[in-house]
Amino acid sequence: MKLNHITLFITLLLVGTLACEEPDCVSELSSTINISLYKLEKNELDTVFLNELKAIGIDTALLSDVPDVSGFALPADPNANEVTFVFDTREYGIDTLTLAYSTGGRFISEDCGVELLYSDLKAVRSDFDSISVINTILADVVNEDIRVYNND
Amino acid sequence: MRILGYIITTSLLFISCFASAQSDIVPDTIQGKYIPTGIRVGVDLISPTQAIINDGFKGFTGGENRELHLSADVDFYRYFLNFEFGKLDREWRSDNGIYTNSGTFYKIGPDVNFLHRDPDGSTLFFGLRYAFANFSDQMTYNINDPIWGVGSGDVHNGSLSSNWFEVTTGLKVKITRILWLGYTGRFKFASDTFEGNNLIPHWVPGYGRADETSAWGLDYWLIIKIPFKKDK
Repeated sequence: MKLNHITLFITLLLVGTLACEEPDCVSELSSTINISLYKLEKNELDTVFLNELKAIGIDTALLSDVPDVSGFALPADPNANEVTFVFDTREYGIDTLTLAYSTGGRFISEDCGVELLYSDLKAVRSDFDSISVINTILADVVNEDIRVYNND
Repeated sequence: MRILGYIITTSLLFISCFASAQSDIVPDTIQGKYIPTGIRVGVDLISPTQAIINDGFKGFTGGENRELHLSADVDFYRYFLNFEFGKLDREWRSDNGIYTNSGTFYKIGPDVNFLHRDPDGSTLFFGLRYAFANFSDQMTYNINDPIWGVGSGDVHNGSLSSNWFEVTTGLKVKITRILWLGYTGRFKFASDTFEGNNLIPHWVPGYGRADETSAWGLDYWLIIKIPFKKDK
């Protein structure tokens, strides 16, 4: 009886030792800030011809010569808590937008690694007529984080 | 993983029932039956075994996973009062970051013994636990962004606490008068997931993955019983 118990417990010890946690590599976070353009008076989507979109600190343009644009997917800078974008459009000229955010994250697993979390998104400076932050945490499921309004 | 947890727990229940059926039955006595007969102090062997498998014998002192989990229980007839204490220092490494977690946890709760007439005093128990943990964690990460280039950063939580509940079952068997072996299977639930934190914790000491609202656990105990009086 005692021998049976010892055998049983050794088996259970091996089962318990080998039953490690293996999380799934599922990410719902994003590093992209989604901006939509709106007409201020009509509160409807605006469409522009983008001459150039640049980010301060990056030598090359993110986008250039793109017709019929009503929104942008802007990259958050993981090395900073603030980033400034310069928009040059045929309709409204040059506008700048400075966004601030907190950078955090979570460790998914040893296989999946680290993913960064951008939260507390806010507009700290802008040349646009009006700005509205409608989502403060960047996530894959969200397709609009900031609304930018221009007068016709 | 969750399916494996169900299989293990179901197996443990069957094994427990099998062990129960084989026990010799002795009659209850009425007078003085709630007087404790001794205290059992146990140490969980699963974490040290995992540490040895991962890091060899240096896993005890310098490995990436150092966890100590102790338990103590006192009997009151067929009821036991349990107290558990644990300490965790653990490090997780990946290609783009390192996460470290350090903290302590406590668990307290009753067990009901369904083998209380066993002449050896072996216990097949079901119980409840209230558990809480205090911990801190830190994550350092490397950045290799196609637009913004390379860099690094770190985030940390200075002091966090979490509490949860557990339903437990298991078996503790007398090997010699002093030495016992046992296991506890547990279903843990109602822990905070810390979704609002800047650094979302990966682990809660004593609980497991912090992003899970429920979890399974198994402890394997090496137990020393200290009797309050000599056996007749």
